[in-house]
Amino acid sequence: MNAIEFRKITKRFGGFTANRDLSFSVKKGSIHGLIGENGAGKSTAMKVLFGIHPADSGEILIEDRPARITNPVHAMKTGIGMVHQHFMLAGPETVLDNIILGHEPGRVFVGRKRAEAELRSIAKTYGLDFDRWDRPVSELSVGEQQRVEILKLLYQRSKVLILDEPTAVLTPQEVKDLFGNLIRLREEGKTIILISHKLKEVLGYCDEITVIRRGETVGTRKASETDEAELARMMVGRDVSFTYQGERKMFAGTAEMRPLVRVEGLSIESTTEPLRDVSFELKPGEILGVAGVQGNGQSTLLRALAHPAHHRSRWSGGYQFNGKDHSESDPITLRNDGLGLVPEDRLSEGLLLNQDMTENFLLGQHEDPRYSKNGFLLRAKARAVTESKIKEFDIRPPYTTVWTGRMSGGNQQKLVMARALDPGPTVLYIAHPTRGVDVGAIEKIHDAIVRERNRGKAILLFSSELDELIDLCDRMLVFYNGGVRAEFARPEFDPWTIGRVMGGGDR
Amino acid sequence: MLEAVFSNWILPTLRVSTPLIFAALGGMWCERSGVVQIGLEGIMLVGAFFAAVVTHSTQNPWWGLGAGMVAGLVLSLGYGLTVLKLKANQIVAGTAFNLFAMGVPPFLSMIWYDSTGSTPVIPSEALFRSAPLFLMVASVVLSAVFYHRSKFGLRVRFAGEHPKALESAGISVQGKRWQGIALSGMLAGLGGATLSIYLASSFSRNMSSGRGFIALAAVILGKWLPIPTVVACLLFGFTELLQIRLQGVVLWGERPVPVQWIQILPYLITIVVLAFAMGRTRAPKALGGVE
Repeated sequence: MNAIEFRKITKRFGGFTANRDLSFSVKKGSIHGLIGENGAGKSTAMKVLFGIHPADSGEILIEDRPARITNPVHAMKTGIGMVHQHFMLAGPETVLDNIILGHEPGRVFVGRKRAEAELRSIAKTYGLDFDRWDRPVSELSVGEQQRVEILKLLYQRSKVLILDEPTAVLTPQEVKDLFGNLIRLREEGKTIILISHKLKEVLGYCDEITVIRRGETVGTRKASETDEAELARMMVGRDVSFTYQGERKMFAGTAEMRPLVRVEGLSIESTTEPLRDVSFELKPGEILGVAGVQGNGQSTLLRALAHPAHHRSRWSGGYQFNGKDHSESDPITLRNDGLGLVPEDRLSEGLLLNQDMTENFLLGQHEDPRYSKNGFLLRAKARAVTESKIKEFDIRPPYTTVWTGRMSGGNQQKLVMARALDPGPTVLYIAHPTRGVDVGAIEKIHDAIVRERNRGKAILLFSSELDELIDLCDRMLVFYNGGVRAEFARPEFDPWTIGRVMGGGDR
Repeated sequence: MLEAVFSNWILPTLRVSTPLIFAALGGMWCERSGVVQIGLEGIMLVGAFFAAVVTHSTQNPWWGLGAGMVAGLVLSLGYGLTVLKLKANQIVAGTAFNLFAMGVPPFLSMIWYDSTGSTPVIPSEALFRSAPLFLMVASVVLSAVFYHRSKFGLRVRFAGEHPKALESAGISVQGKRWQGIALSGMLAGLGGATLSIYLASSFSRNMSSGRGFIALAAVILGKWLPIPTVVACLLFGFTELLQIRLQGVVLWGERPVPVQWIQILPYLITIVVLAFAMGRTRAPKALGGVE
C-alpha cells in the first residue's frame, strides 16, 4: 500500500511552474528520500501536500484514496506531520508544553500529568530515549530538540513523518542517533519522507529515493540499486565530480616562507567548548584544514582568532598575524591587516537577511576608503562593485536589490565569499563553506578556495565534511576535546584513520 | 504591634496597589499574547471616569465598576482593531489611544456636569469599602493559576513566544491576541474604576497620573509573570504610600521637605528599579511583531 501518492501534480505561480506533472509514490512503512537542488520544487510539493497551496491540476492519494487537504491542521488530522528545518519550538517553555500545545488532554487545564504519562509510553514504544519533560527547550542540544519535534508528531498520532533537511544542523553522532530512531519508527509501521540533498545519507538509510529537478520527477530508485554518481546526475542534469578536479599547483616555496599566522599554546576558557594549548603555523599558498566532530574546540578557535579582543579575559597564549602580535585585536584591526572571514553560520553571523546585496556586501567595509568618503557611503560605487561580483561569482538572482534572505544557501555563500575576498586579504578563515549548499554550487565554491590558495593566500579551512577537507587541504589538524589530537599531511590523508582520531583514537 | 503594622502599612499598601495590580495583570496577559500594551494609562483613565459617572448617577458602585470595565474593554477593542486588523505600529497606536483617552473626560464632563474634567463627589454610602480588594486578590489568584495551569495560559504564552508553533498546532494566533487585548481592557478598566470609586470619591482630571505606565513597568520588572508582576506592583504601591505619608513631615532641619520633592518618589523609584532590572528581563520573543 502507498502511504502517499502524487499523481501529475502541477502548481504554477504566475508564469512560473514550480511543479509540473509531479508523480511519485511513497510505500507505507518505508523511509523515502526526496532529493533535489534548492528551488527544484521539493518544498512546493510539500506545501501542496499540506494544503498551503492548492494544486492547479493532478491529485494526491493518501493510503490509496484520493484526498483533498485544505490546510496544515487538516493534514495533521489526516496523520501527516512535518519536522521543519527551523524547529517550531519556544525556547523558554518546557519540552512537555511544546509537545502538547494545541492537543492538551484537559478541558480547561492543561492536564500535564496525563500528557506526560502518555508521552512516556510513546517514547518507550518508539525507543526514543527521553526523560526531560519539564526542562525548557532552550537547555536541550539541537539533536534533542529534533527529538522533541519528532515526539510532537508521534503525540499527534502522525502516521507519515516528513523531515526537512534533518541532518543539516546535527553532529555526526546525532545523525547516527537520528537514523537509528527513524529505523525504529519504520519498524513500528510509520512512514518517513526525508527531504535532503546529502546523497550519502539518503543512500545509506532510505528504501527508495525520488529525484526532483526543475519541478519534475526525474525518477525513483531503490537505494540498493543506485549510487551517488547516478543520483547526482539525476539531480543536476549532468555529471558531477565529488572530488576536486581543478588544477592544484604547488605554490612555489611555501615550505621556506615565513608563516602568516602563528598560534602558540592558545587556550580559551569556556564552559561549553574550551580550547586547550593549540599551536600551529599557517603559510602562504596552503590550505590548512581544521577537522573534528562539532563541539571539540573548532568553533572556539575560529571565534577567538577572528575576535581576540572579545576573548581577552579567557585568553592565554600567543597569536601572531602577518608578523604582528594580534592577541588583543578586534575584527576590524585584523581585517585591515589582511584577514578575510567566512563565518560559521552565514544566516546569523554573515548576512543581514532583510537587506539587499549591496548593503550586505558593504558589511564591515563601511570604513574602507573605497566605499566611503568623509563619513558618507559611496553607494553608487558599492553597487557597481557588487554588480561586478555578482557576475564574477555567478550569484543568482543577479540583481543587487534582492534581499539576501530570499536567496538560496549557495548564492548567499557566494556573496559572503565575494565579500571576504574583496579587500584582497592575504589570510582567509573559511568555515563550512558548503554547508546547506547545492551540489552544483559546491564545485564553484571549491574552485574559488583553491584558486585563492594558488594565488598564494594562506587559508584556514573549518569544515564538518571530512570529504571536503580531504579534497582541498594541504595539511589537516584534527581536533578532539579542545586540543589538536593529530596533524596529517596530504599524502597521509585517509578517511578511516582521520575518523578514528576524530573520535579520540590514535592514528 | 502586629495589628498596628497591618492596619497602618500592609492594608494601605494593598489598597493603593489595587489599581496598579489590576492594570498590570491586564498588561501581562496582553503582552504575553504578543501585543505591546502602552495604552494601559488611557484605559485606566477612561475606566475611572465612567465608573465615577455611573456610580454617581446610580448610587451603586457595582454598576460603576461594571461601567469602568466595559469602557476599558471598548477602548481596548478599538486598539485591537488598529493593531491586529489594520496592522498599525503598536507603540504609535497605543500613544494615540492614550492621547485620545485624555480628551474624553474633559469633553464629557463639560457636557454632563459643566466641569472641566471632574465629576461630582459621590456620597460615601455609595462607595466601596473593601470589595475591590477581594476582587483584586481573586484576580491575582485566577491569573496565576490560569497562566501556569490552563490551556488558555499555555496558548497565550505561545502566541507571544512562537506564534508559528501555535499556528502549526492549529490554534489561531490572532484569536489569542484579541483575547489578550480584551483582558487588558477589562482589567485595566477595573483598575481605573478602583481609583475613582474606591480610593477616591470622584473623578478628577488626569487622575491616573502615570499609573498605567507604572503598571507596565511592573510587568517588565515582573518578567511578564503573574506573581512577580504583582510583587512589583506592591513595591510601587508602597512607595506611593510612603509618598503620601511623608508629605508635610519634617525629616531634617526645621521645615518639611517640599511636597513636590516627595511626590517625585514613586516615579524616581520606578526609573531606578527599571534601570537596574533591565538586561535581566527577557520579553516574549514575538512581542510587538506583526503576523
